[in-house]
Amino acid sequence: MCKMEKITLRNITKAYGKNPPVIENLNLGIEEGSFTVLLGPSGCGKSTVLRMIAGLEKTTAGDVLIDGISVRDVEPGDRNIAMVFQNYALYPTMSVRDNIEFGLKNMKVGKDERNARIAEVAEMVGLTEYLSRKPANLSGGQRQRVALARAIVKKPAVFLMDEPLSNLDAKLRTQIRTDLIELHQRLKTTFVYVTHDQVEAMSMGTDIVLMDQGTIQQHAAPAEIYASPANVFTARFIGSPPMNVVPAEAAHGKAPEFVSKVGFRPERSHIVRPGEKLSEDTVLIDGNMLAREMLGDQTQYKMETENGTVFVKEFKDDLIDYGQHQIAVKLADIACFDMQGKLCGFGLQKE
Amino acid sequence: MTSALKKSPASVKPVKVIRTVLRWVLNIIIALIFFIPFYWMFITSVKTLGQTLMMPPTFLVSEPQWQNYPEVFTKVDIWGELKNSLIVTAGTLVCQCITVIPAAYAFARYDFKGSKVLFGITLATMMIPAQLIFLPVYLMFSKWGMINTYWSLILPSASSAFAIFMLRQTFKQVSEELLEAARLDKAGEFKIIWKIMLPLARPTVVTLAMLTFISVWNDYFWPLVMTTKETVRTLPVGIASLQMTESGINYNIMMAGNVILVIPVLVVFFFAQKQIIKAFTYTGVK
Repeated sequence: MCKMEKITLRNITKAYGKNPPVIENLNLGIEEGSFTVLLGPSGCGKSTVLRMIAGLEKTTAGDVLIDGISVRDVEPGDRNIAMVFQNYALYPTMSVRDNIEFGLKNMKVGKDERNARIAEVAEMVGLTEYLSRKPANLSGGQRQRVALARAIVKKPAVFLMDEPLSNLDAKLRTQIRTDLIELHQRLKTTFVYVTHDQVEAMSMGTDIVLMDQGTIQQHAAPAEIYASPANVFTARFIGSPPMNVVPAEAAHGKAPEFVSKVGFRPERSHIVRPGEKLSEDTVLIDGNMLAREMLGDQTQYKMETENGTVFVKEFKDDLIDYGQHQIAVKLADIACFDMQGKLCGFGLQKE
Repeated sequence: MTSALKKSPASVKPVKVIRTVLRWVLNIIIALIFFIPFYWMFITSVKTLGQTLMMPPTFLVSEPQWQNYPEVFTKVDIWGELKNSLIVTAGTLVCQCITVIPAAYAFARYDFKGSKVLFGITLATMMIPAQLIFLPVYLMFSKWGMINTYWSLILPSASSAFAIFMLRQTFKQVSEELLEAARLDKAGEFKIIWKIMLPLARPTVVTLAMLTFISVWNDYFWPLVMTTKETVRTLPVGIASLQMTESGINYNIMMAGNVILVIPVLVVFFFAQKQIIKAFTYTGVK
């Protein structure tokens, strides 16, 4: 845990005008070389955090440190960072080449060096043939690549990305997702990536910072955030579909008194087949099937129970027909949350 | 499939035909309204004096009197006035670039204290007619010894509220993200204006320059007030002086002078028209 922090946010508060602050007293450390994803629903303040790191937004209070040094008085252009915007923000009147070169020229990089770097980065993102084109004559995916190339060519210490994939179609999105992981592996620099899509966060991040209403809900590695969600919000945000969380009463008195909510992952439950033998440590929930989605290797069932709708995800080949069924969940797989919504642990005792 | 796309003559609706015909008739009428004065000016410039006074007027000339044109040059100092006109117009354009572009950028992109009030005052100046302020301006200039200098013709229109307003609207359309990207690319404000804003606003800039060019080039009032000597007198004043002859007005000579006056405007418009059309249909870059 003695890795160096590349970016540190110290007691950050951000308020727009006289409105109540959108972010209050936020502390966050981003490790050098990590692929940190700021994740959360829209309006949670994740983009604001990114923009404050970039220097595009001033902090109302608190300090942003890069390499341990406050950047309060450092202009965005001098922070040794590069940003990829949601709408790419390519300069429309410049060719692809000029777009990539613009920052280098302003950084007073020599001409030979510029040419070498542009050639290298164009090769890397596969834009060599398009260098003389204008952004208007490129497809969405190609524009995205230009935006990436423009960032990479500056060789920044930190890459900031603000929902860069949200304007692409699903197929391209998965493709560029892998490209970004590759890029991070290759460059080994710090990436800070903003998204509202937990799939993007889980697949790309080495660290996930899950935010809600301006506060950090959990900061952990993807595996950990999945395995032990810190609270109900995290549990309900991560996973596709996310964890089923129901009131503790649904456990029929098996939950201790301090537990207010219980939950289980859809993939840790299954629908009971006729004649199936169930072990002792299983809890059964009655439910009526509302919808069935066959996705090839897996099937998702949406079930209506007396405590609300829950999802069940199975990796079995046999499809189950619509109608009344029982959902089986192992007691050890049940997460318990206390009155404040915090996770207190997994597993319930059989009476 | 192709047969379905082909229109047989019978399927063309008569209403459509009438509409098309009406549209063309209307277009032709509008075109004529704009064309006839130019034609009238030209045809008069190659008539004899007798023909210009004929009733009913003639619209055709069998023997064009081209010598009317050299005649203009003998009556007024066309070359000198052309030079003055060029200096004043170019000077005004340069001054407007220097004042209008930064002002439009500031009003479009910065929310500084009093920006709204300042912008309101700027717009309000559009409502003050030149005839109202020419006297104080004249007195001021004469106090400073600037009457009969180019400055007295350039400075009154060294900035333009209308141009600031138009350019501000165009600058406002540019997405904030683009400017942020430029800032992260270490571009200063002037570089942002020069490399990003102006290229995007090119149609507007060309149109504004064109409008300024026309209004300054054709301006008769200010040069008439601010100049008393021929040395700085501009072309419109010179051409107008053709009226002041003892033997009555030579319409043919005067119209020849007007043709000379209008040609530069037509040339400029010819080269700028593509940009002007763009400026009025421009909706921003997606």
